[in-house]
Amino acid sequence: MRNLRYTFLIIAILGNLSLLGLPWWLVAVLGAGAAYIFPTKIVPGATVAFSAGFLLWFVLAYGLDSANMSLLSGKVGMLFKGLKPMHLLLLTGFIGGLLAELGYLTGHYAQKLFVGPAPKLVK
Amino acid sequence: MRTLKFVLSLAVTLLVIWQLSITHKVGDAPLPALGHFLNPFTGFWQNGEPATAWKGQQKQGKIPGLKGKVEILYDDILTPHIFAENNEDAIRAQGYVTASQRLWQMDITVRKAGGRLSEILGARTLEIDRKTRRRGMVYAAENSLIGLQKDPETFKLLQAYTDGVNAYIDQMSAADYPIEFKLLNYQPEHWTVLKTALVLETMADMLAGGDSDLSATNARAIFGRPAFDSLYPGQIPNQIPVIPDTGQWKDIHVQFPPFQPISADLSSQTGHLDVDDASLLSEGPEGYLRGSNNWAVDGTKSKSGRPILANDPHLNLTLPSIWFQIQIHTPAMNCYGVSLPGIPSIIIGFNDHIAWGVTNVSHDVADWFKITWLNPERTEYQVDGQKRSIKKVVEKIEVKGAPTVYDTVRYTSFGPIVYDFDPKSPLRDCAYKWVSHDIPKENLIEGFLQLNSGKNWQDYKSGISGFDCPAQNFVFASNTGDIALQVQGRFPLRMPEQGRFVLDGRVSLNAWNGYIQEEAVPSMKNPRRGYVFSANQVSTPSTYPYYYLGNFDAYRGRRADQILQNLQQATIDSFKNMQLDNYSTRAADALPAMLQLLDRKQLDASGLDMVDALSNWKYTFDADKRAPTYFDVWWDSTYVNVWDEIIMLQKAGKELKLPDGWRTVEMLQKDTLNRFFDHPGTPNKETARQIVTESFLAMQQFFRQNPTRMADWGQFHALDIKHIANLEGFGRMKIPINGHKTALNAVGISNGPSWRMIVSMEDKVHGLGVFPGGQSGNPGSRFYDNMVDTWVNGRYNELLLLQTTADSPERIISKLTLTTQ
Repeated sequence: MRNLRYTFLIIAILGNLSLLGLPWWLVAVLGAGAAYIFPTKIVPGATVAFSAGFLLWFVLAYGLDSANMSLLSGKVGMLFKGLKPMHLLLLTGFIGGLLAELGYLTGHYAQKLFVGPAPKLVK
Repeated sequence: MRTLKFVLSLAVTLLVIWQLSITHKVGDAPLPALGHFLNPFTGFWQNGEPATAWKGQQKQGKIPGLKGKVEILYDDILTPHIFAENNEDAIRAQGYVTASQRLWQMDITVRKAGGRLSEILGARTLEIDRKTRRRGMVYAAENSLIGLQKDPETFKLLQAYTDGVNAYIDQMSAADYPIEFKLLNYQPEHWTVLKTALVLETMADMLAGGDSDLSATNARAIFGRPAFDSLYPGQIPNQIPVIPDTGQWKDIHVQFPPFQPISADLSSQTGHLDVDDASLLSEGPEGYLRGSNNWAVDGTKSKSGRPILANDPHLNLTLPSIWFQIQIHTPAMNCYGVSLPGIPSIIIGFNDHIAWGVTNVSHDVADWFKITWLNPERTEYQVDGQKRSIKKVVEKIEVKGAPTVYDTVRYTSFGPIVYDFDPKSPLRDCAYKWVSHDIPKENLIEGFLQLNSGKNWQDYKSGISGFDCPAQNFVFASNTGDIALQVQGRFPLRMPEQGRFVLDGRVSLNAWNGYIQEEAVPSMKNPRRGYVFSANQVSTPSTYPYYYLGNFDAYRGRRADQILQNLQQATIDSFKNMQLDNYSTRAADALPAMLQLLDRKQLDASGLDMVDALSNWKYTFDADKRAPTYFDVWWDSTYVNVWDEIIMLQKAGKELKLPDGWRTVEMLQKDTLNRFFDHPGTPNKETARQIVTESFLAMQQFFRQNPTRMADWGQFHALDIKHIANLEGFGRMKIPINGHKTALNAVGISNGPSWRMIVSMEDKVHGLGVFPGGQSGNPGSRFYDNMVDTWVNGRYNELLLLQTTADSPERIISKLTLTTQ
């Protein structure tokens, strides 16, 4: 449970470093790093990684869109076959989540390959 | 197994990141690189300007090379008012603030002008780039650059503008890139002085790059000389020229060598050029003549006793807007007006002493010369019996996602061979000569800067004297009471009819043999009638001693003259009414003739109702009226039916120009049995009466088949202001609006008054203006299109010519201070 929490926090907090110029796919690297350093079971770990990536991208985009009163996202939606601003926000969140999850899976399998099986969690 | 899982997951992750980093296609529609575009760190979300942005902001910026402090106040329409201690700093700051609002517009303008679209858009724009380069746009810009270097002091200012643009670019992070860069997935690159020259060439190409040489050559060959002269008369009747004959040319005697220009024989040539049918038809079968209006009255006609000046250039309306408003205040100048992004200085505007504006002169300054090759390799050609060799220029066109293309262009002494890659083109062996290919005699920007800081008529004369291309009618007014107008440009010295048809390149005398001298360029100052005006009509009466040809407007000038003649006690409001005048002189000429010819016995009750509506119509294209809709469809239908022979030939691939609307009206009025009224292939011999009636019935049929088009004029003729790249959602579409291309308020489907300006030259100069867009180039800003509604509704903004940074604090919303480090 603690490792899942770390995974979430690493992705959701350190992911903001992309605002300082690090590449937008940093979230995938963070997912991989978290999985490698704080091993978890694959399903809950991947779910948490996706959720963290989704929230990171969605919340940031939502904040910018709200300040802009959806003026731009309304126009951009027209380029995407008439998508509404909320659809664009969800798509944005999904991409963030997908990247974090794929990164997580890579880190997870790297950890298994190079370090060994994840320790059994004691309930 | 573990290895496989790891490798697989790593590969999928990398593959997804890669796919999210590149653009795709969905059907024919391009899809941006989703990762780049949608991520909230550097993607498009960052371009959404907060609704509270600008208000009360105090910003700091840095531009290397500033000599003093620069303060920029932004007013409530986001016009930057630059206060600098010297001109160089001011122009540097102009580059900086223009780039901060319009960087992508600047970039795409020069990519198009320089034939570099394929670098970002791939192979789909390769033919556009190829044609642009082969027409010598870059060649013209390079020669223009030589002209810009003629005055070292002004060139220093051009370099300062460039540095200002680049200072802004260097300070940007990926998050700051304009949204179009993110959509197309490329990065801004540094500005250069050559790029400024390319922007100048864009204007020259738009306003003075056209010609009718091939279509006239074809028409003469097909119809014969008498019919050609009847279809395309050189002179438009009932015209009030820009500059009347007051005896100023009586001492000019033009002498040419004993020689008549020889036209090339292209009768054996087949094939056709690409005619942009879509753009032609979008403004009706006649297209839209990009023109403009300007006029000025002196104190005898104004209520204030001081001159008033107005200008509205008619251009293709786009978002971001073509113009950028700016004020430049230095110890040497205090000027407000509109600039073109990419060009330092103010192009149309006013200062504390003078105001000026421009309309297009519309002379033909481009010719084609048929080359006679002396060898199969087409490297040697004949002129005056002598052998000459071509110069080869290899154009390197980089193409995104494809190998670089190298295109060899042959240059003759006349100019480039544009179409020699296309064996079907009738101009395959023709060289293209355009006045903008020449090295300008002076630095154009120096001229504009002189106008910007001008104090009187002498400064105006001196400022515009170096303006070569596109030739413009420069109107002028000063607060000392002077008004003036000059047809300014570089005009080839032509023998009668030289350049009307494709010329024979074997004879050197067919080339241009100099230019009309500055002293003989048509101009006038303080005419007794108390006003000057231009509306793209013919420049001079037939008594002008020099031959010229062009594409002139037949109607707006007549309307302007009619109003100005009767105008007394003129005010700014009188000028507003003039700019917004929807009266069409053409409709007033054509409709009575059409109604008289119409056989009403053939009409049903609804047709007779339409006739009633048309009979009661006062020829004004008002948005809330139905009659203009009927007239417009009836007119277009008549026009197409009259010229069906020519349209059929066009469709068969022949390059031919349709006769002017005024000639069609003249035939309806006076020549109703003209053979062109007869439909080819029918047993009967149709006359104007049958054509007009048949067209009326066709108009009724059109509305029966398209009931939703049966609407008031504003709905029927709704205006589209498209994004420059035609991105859906980034334009303002289907705007119901007054106006017509033949009225002073020359609003078309996608063209119209791109900047309305009125300046009253009182002690404290009073300026109003508006353009259909906004100062910002960012679709995510409320300043992107905030002036569209103002413009559509015929309102204007008060233009702030600030004297100090403390003036009009109620309208200043933000301040930017620029320092060197």
